[in-house]
Amino acid sequence: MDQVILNPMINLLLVIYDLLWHNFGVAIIVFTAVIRVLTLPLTLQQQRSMQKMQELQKSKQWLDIQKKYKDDKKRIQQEQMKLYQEMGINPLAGCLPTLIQLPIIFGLYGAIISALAGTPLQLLELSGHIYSKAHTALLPLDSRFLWMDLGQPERLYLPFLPGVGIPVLTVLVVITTFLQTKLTTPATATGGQGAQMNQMMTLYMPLLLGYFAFTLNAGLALYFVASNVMAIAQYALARKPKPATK
Amino acid sequence: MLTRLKTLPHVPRALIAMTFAALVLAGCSRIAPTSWPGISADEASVYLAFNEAVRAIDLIEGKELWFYPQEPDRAMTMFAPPSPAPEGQIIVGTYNNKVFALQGQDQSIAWESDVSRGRIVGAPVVAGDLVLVPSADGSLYALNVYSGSQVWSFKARQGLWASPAVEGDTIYLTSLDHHVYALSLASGKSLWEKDLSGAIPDKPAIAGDVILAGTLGNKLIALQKQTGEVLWEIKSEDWVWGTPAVGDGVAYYADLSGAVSAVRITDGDVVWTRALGGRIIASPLLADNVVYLLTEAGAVSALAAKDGKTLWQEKPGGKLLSDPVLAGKTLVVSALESENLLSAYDAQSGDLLWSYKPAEKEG
Repeated sequence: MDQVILNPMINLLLVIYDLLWHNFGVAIIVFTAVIRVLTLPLTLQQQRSMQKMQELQKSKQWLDIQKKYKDDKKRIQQEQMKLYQEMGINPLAGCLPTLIQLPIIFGLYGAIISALAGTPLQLLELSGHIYSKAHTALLPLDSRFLWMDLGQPERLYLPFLPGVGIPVLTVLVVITTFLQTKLTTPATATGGQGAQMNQMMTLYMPLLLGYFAFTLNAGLALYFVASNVMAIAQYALARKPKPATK
Repeated sequence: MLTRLKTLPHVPRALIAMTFAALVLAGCSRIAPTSWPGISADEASVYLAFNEAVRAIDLIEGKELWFYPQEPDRAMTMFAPPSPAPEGQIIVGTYNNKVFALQGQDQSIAWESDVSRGRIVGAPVVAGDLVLVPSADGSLYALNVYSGSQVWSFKARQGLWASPAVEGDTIYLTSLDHHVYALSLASGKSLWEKDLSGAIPDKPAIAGDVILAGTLGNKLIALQKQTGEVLWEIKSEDWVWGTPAVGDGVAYYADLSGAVSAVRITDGDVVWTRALGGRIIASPLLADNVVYLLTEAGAVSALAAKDGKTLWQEKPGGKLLSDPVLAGKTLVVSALESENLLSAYDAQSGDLLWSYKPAEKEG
C-alpha cells in the first residue's frame, strides 16, 4: 500500500514544498488542490449519481410504489431495483467513488503526517519513503506556517490573554465541515429516514473532524479546512444556473 | 445481501463510509512510542526516559530504584535523556512541552515550567544556575535551575532537537534550521551563527578550538570555535546523525550508511574507515582508546581507536538508536522494540553485567 499510494504522495508533497519556497502550509493547500483535481472525475460522477437519486426519490412512480406497497418492504425493494434499471441508475455509482477515494484520503492523511516528521523516529522512517537523495536534504520540513507549528495541535496565543490558546483552526474546521456537509448532502423528504440521516451527518461530521483538529496536528486541520473550502467552491461552480421564471 | 446494500439510502451509506474513515483515522493516530529511549547516568544510577515514565536504575545491579509517575499518564510522554541537577534533582523534558524538576528522593515535583510551545527532544543541560532547555518550537530556554523561572530565551529559525554544548561562558547550539549558533551563556545573545546547509539533529562536539557537527546534508563539518568559520568538511554516504566522539586530536563519526571514520581534527584527513553494516544513528562514544558504536540493527561494537579493529561485539536485541552512556567501566545501551529496555556491559570485556526489563504494569 505504501508503494502505491503513500510514497508517491509523500514525494509529490516534497516536490511541491521544494517549489513553493519551503512553505509547508502552502504546500499542503496546493497538494490538496492537486489531489482534488485528480479525483475530480470521481467527484463529478458521485454528484451526478446523487442528483439522479434525488430525482428518483421525487418521481411520481417512486411515490406510488411506496404508497402501494407500504406494508411490504421486500416488494418495495424489488420495485426500486426495477425502477433503477428503467431509469438507468447504478445504485453503487454513488458509493463506488467514495470507496475509491477512501484510500486516497488515507494516503493524503498519511503523507501529511509522515512528511511533518515531528520526532527523530518519524524523521528516520520518512527517510525510507523518499525517492530522491536531493529531497532528503530538505528534511526535516519547516513546519511553521503563520502562527502555527503544523506538527502540533494548533492554538493561537494572544498577548492580552496569557496562557490561553485559542483553537482557531478547530473552529474553522467545524464551520467549513458544517457548510460543506450541508451543501453537498442531498436534500430528502422531511421526516423520513434520509432526512434524519442528513441531520446526523450535518452535526456528526463537523464535531468529529473538529475533535481531530483539536487533538491532532495542525497540518491535518489545515488540510481539512483547505479540502472543505475547495469542496464548497467545487459545489458552487458545478451548480447550473436555473433560468429565471416569471 | 447485495440487494440490501444496493437499496440502502445514500446518506446511511455515506455515514457508514465516513464512520469507517473516522475510525481508521482515529486508529492511525493512536499513541505508540514516538521516539527512542533517552538515557543518562551519574556515578550511582542510570536514568531512563521512555514513553510514559522516567526511571532510575541502580548502576551496579540493574534494579529499579524508582519511577515517575506512579500512575502512567497517556497525556505525558518523555524521551529526552533526563539531566541530573544539583540537590539530587532530575530535570525532565517531555513531548508534551513541559519541563519539570523531579526530586529523586521522593519523586515529588520541585518545579514545573510550561514556557515551551514544542516537544523537548534534546536533553536539558545544567550550566551553573541555569538549565538550558532546547525545544522543538525553535527556542532555547534558560531556566533558573532552582525555581524553573525563565531567565532568557533564544529563538532559532526552526526546531531544536539537540542539547546545547557549553564551554566556559559560551553555548554552542545546533538546529534543524541548518545553523550552528554561539550564544552568551549569561544573556543568550548570539555571538555568531553559521549556515551548514543541512539540518543538525544532534549536539556539536567541542575539541580545543574546533566545533564539529554532523548534518543531514551528508557532511561532517569543522568550524573555528571563536568565529564559526568553516575549517574543513567531509562528504559522507548518508546522513551524519550523531555527535562525533573526540579525543587525542581525532574525531570519530558514523553515518546512516553504516560507515565509521576516524579523522584528524586539524585538517580532516581520514585516519581509518570501516563499514559496520547497518544504519548508525546513535553517537559514537570514546573512552580509554576504545570507540563504542551501536547499529540500528542491534549490534554493540567496541573498536580500537587507533585502527578501528573490532575488540568485541554484542547483540542485546531490538533497535539501538539511543546514545549509549558510560558510567565508570559500565557501558549502558537502551533498545527500542526489545524486551530489555537497558543492557549494561563491562566496557573492557563486553561481558553482560545486567539487563533491565520494566515490570508489565508500568511498561
